[in-house]
Amino acid sequence: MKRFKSTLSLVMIIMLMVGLMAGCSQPSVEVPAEETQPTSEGEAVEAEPVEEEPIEMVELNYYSHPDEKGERNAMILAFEEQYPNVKVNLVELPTDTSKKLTMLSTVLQAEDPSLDIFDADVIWPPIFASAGWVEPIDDYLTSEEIDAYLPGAILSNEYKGHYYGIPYRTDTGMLYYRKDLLEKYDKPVPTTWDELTETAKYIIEEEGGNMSGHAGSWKQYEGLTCNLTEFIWSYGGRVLDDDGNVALNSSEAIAAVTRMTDMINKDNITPEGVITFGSGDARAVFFAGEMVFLRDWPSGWNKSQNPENSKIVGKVGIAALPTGGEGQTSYSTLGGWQIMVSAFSEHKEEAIAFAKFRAGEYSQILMAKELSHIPSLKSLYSNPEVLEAMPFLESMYPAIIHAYPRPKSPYYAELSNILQVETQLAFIKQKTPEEAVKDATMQIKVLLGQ
Amino acid sequence: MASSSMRWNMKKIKEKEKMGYIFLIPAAVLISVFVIYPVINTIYLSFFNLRIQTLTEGAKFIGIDNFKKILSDQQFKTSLGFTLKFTIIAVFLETIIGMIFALIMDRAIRFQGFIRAAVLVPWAIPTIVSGLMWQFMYSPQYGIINAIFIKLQFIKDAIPWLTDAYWATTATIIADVWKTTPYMSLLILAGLQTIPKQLNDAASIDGANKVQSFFFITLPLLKPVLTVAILFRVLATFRIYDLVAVLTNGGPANQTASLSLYTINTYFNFGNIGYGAALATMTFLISLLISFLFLNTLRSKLEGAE
Repeated sequence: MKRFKSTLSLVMIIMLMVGLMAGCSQPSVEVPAEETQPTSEGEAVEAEPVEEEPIEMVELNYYSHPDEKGERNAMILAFEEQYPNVKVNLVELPTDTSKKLTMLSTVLQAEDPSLDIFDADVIWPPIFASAGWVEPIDDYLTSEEIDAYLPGAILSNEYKGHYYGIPYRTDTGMLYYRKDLLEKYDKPVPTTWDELTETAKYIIEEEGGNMSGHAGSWKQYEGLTCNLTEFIWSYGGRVLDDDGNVALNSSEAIAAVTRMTDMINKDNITPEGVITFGSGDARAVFFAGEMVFLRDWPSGWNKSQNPENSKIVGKVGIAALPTGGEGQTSYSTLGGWQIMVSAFSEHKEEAIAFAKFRAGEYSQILMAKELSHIPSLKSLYSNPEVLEAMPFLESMYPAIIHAYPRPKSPYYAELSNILQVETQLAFIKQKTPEEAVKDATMQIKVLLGQ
Repeated sequence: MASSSMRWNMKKIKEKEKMGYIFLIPAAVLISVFVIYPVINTIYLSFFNLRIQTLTEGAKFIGIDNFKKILSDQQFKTSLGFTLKFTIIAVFLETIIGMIFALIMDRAIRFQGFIRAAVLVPWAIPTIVSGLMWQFMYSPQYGIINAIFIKLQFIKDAIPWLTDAYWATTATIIADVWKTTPYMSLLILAGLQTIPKQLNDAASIDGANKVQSFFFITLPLLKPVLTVAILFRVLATFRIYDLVAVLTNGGPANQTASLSLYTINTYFNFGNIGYGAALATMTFLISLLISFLFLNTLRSKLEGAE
């Protein structure tokens, strides 16, 4: 027994060591051929001959989305070749956007200099700027550089007259649909939500099996607010009016929320558990071939055409989101991510240089090809490489450039949470859509002091 | 002669005491820096109106206004209700099941050591990892639990594990009990080992059956261990955060938002520092209340039984 125990311990120690060694090996990263790629300033990227005297290394910590296929590390390597004295560490943020906000708030509240640059969602700049946690970068951007970006994208970074970040990608909600199914049943691409529901119901009837009709990311997080505001705007409603007053309690907003809850509870065109779906979950159902329509960001395109992830390669179409009815306009939520510099960073010059690189042409083209991130630089919409990666960009350009921003406020996180909770209460039938909209309005008014 | 050696012994004891106090200093420093200071700071902040959005304006003293707001906060009531329900049911289940496991493990059977180690596996897996595992199992799309139940014809339609408030609570309780029962059972096992075998032997000679010897011998002798274990588990479960965050993130509609989750969201996501501190203080006070009540009733039961 004693010998058995010591043999067992030895085996477990060996397994532990093997596991540790495997975990420590770096994944191989493919650096795309960038010797021939000019940067936006037109300089060659070849590294200058390194001098023999020791360079003082500056280390930056970049709190970023996790690396998916090695592309972010490739981008960092390209930056480090241009700036040999800077080393950038990628620190992974959680996948859930709300948890990213929690993590960033925790570090910034502590005024910790170990965070230099970070990814920020399009609605965060007012939050961080009002708290004094981010560095204004007006002095580092020329007016041409500012103009080079899409107006909606760069304006999201503006707060009280100063710019606090640079957008490196923009985003806008789109309707994905199964071209093959619509053709099979001779149905047009729907232009109203009612039409979408009817078409979905018909196809579900005919196809049978596990087919469902439509989903978005409707779980209790920021994604739900993006979907919700698209519905509200497409029915002609508003959350805040142009003067910043709460204008949510309207028949249009109620109609929009009713449309969403009916999809779940009355028309039954949503898959089981849709109220726990993040965008990944909704995509999974669509890519498995079990859904007719999907509301998603453009970043789903790339994955939908990859046979490793998707069973519907070549069967996907993209269109603008439906409207609430005749005479209404289609709206998509302005999404996107910016790069911001912490006010407590000890290497602000280098951090800003990295920020400009991250939001510059080289990075945007790389991410457009690898991850179908849509660019925030106007010039890239006529770039042949980008258009080859995402052919729908040309037809969707009007929708992209008119993407509508969510309410801008330093209290946005709490405002969004109120919308999420009230909408979910309507989803689970604890409140009617009227009650949910009314309660949300009241709470937001209290929050904003109106 | 006796008095001088006594004096010499006293001196030795005093020196040993001094050494003891010196060894305590590092731990005392750590506790005051990482526990006492933050707790006092949080309680202090709860009397102010402070948000990150108005950080530059500074904190405004508002006395107990934050606490008044808590009493009329619907979300606080929902979270408190959920957390209490969760704590009571989970601790009850883990005590009963833990007791059964402990009684089984107490028997000298083959591979006793291996079984005791294997039983600890759920406890050893990090909560985030096991939480994600449970999330997959509960999934309405490809969850294995629904698939098995439907195949065995226990149910007809899939159970909405994480989408319905009632089922989400149940699902979280199951995941928590799975994780913490081993810990409870090992604590109880340790207690069982201190009970002399002769007592049970004497009882069986006198004609007591297994059930009687359990209730009249084992259980009373286990009371001290059980009290400590249950109190410890109640306080820990009351603070539940990571499991809820991974499984439901408080959803649907904040119905499964534990007090800790609500507090952390308020403090870090919404940036409402004053109100978040008040919520944390309130949670702390409620935990204190629970532990006092608990210790009092159990102590009287202990004294009453003897």
